[in-house]
Amino acid sequence: MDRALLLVALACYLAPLLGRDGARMRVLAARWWVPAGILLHIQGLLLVVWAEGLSMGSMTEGLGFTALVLVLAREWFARRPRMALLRRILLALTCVLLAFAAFAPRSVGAGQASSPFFLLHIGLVLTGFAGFALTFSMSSLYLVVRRRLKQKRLDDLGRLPSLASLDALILRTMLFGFVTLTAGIAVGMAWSMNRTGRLLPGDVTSVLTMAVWLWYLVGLSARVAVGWRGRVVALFGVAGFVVFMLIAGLSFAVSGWHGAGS
Amino acid sequence: MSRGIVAVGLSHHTAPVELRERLAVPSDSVPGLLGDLRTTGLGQEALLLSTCNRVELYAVTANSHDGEAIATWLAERSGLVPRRTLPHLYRHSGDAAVRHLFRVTSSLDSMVLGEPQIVGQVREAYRLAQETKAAGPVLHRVMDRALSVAKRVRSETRIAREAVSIGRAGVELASQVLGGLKSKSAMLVGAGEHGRIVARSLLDYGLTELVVANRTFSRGAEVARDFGASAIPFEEVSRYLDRVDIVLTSTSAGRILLDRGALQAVARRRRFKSLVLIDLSVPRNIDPAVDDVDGLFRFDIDDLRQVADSGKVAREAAAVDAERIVAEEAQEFWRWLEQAELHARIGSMSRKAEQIRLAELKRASSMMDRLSPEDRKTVEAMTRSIVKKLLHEPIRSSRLLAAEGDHHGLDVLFNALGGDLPPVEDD
Repeated sequence: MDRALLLVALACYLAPLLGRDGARMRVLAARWWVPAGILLHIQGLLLVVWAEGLSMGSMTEGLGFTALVLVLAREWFARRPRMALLRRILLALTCVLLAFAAFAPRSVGAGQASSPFFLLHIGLVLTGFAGFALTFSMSSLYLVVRRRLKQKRLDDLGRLPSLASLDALILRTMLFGFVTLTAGIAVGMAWSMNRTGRLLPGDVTSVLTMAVWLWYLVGLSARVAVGWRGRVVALFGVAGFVVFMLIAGLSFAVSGWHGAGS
Repeated sequence: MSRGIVAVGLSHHTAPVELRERLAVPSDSVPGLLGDLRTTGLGQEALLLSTCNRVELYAVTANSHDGEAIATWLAERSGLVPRRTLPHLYRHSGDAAVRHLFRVTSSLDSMVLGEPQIVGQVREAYRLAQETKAAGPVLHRVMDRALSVAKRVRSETRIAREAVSIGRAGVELASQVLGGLKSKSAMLVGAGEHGRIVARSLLDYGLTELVVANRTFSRGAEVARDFGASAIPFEEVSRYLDRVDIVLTSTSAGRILLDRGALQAVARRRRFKSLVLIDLSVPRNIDPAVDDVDGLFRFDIDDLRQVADSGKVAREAAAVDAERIVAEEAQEFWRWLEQAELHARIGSMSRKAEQIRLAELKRASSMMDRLSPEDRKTVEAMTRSIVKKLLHEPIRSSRLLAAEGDHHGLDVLFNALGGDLPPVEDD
């Protein structure tokens, strides 16, 4: 039932794409189906938590939560006409993550669920990753707009955001992701120290998380401290997220979060 | 004679900017070119219009087929291979050439339909032709008419009001990269017309600071004063590249002023902070190879056209009325020109007949001297009447042939009656 709700939410997000541009059905779908999808999405996530325990540690919960942040961000940009392409990128990413969430194997972070520190740690880390997912979307759009300008495809520029505004959004989302991830890691370290006497569990997930943290630290340093901007930072945003998703997917399939998966 | 008006050239419709800049003629070289053309005998009168978007040569030639020869001459003179260049060159002759000139002057053939700059450029080309004495009676007539047609098009249609200017297009492109113009600065290199137009638009849309650099400092200072900007020596340009957000080049240097190497170094020093380079010069002043350098966004005149074309639909609707006016005016002018030519040929023929009559009377002077004054008057009236009656039928036929548009018949008729005739006199 919980997974089915996530799939129905996915269908709701895709519904406004049916029918031709500007058609009444399509306008109505955008107005009602997406909010309905968000409600179903939240309800589905709550049911997952109910079924798998309040761990936030399962792949379904992690991906489902990130997808929820993305779809909310998409709605945030709904009234900005120049962000139409960004909304499409966010929708595509939401759908991919939600589909993975719906079909991911069930897993429970059983022993860890009881600790509020662990919940805070996972919550912050996932929020950080959601921030990086947004960075990925902004960065992808930056590269698209930049490419169009460089290739002199200038016919419908009015429908695209400016490079400067995307650059600013990349910086903000990257900072948001980095700060929340840093906070999540700090909480996780405190919890781990308290529980095992070690700062890092030393498993694949913790190493991967630190690698992601380091990656974005370099990206942010290049942007803020050194002053680099534009394509280099956008490539950082895209590559970081893609590589992270690939490795995270593989490592989770093998061991689950901190070895607590299936 | 008037059938020898030809228009040869290329424009943004037929040739890429690379070719246009090879064929472009700086204003100080125009007199030389017009002189050369007349020396070759290809054109009796000539006018050259060389703008960022077009290079066109209007000439009054001995016959309408000279367009081909002029096209080849133009390509060769520019150091181009005619075989490769000729496909890009259009040739219009006779009424088509007149109509083309009217369309160009009325901005119906412009990159941005309805843009106002072209009238000034045509006027300048005409001034140069007049100064170099390359414009004769036919060109005087056709240019005066072209300028008045442009005025009529602008006042009777909405084409000018609906135009998205090159300036606005520049603002759009800069904003697409920089996000907005508030707290942004720009440098105008050169004092070309397009550069000044874009600079004015940037200021209107919130640009905070503008500096002007020109080879002639006093001219730069003059332009800067018009904008309420500051002038800098031309040597300071490279230093300012690190500081400004937008660079506009609009010079007649005819060569690359900012090359890839220099701009790549600038991009590095700026840590790839976006720099918008708008090159409004033809030939271009900014090396197109900078397109692959991070942080640099170069746009040339063709790119501005793309943006300006976005409001094309409204202007195209207005252009329908403008085309009607141009067609009407071109037809009327052509009719006038044919009539003028016919009158000139008839006048020439009549003068020739009168010369013959007077010569014959002179030859018979010994006999005429013996006549009483009354008889002499009678003989003179009789010879005049004979000439008039003899000419009556050819003149009537020539008018009929002209009305039917039978140019070949007219040529045959006049050649049979008198051979080559002197050129049309301005009336």
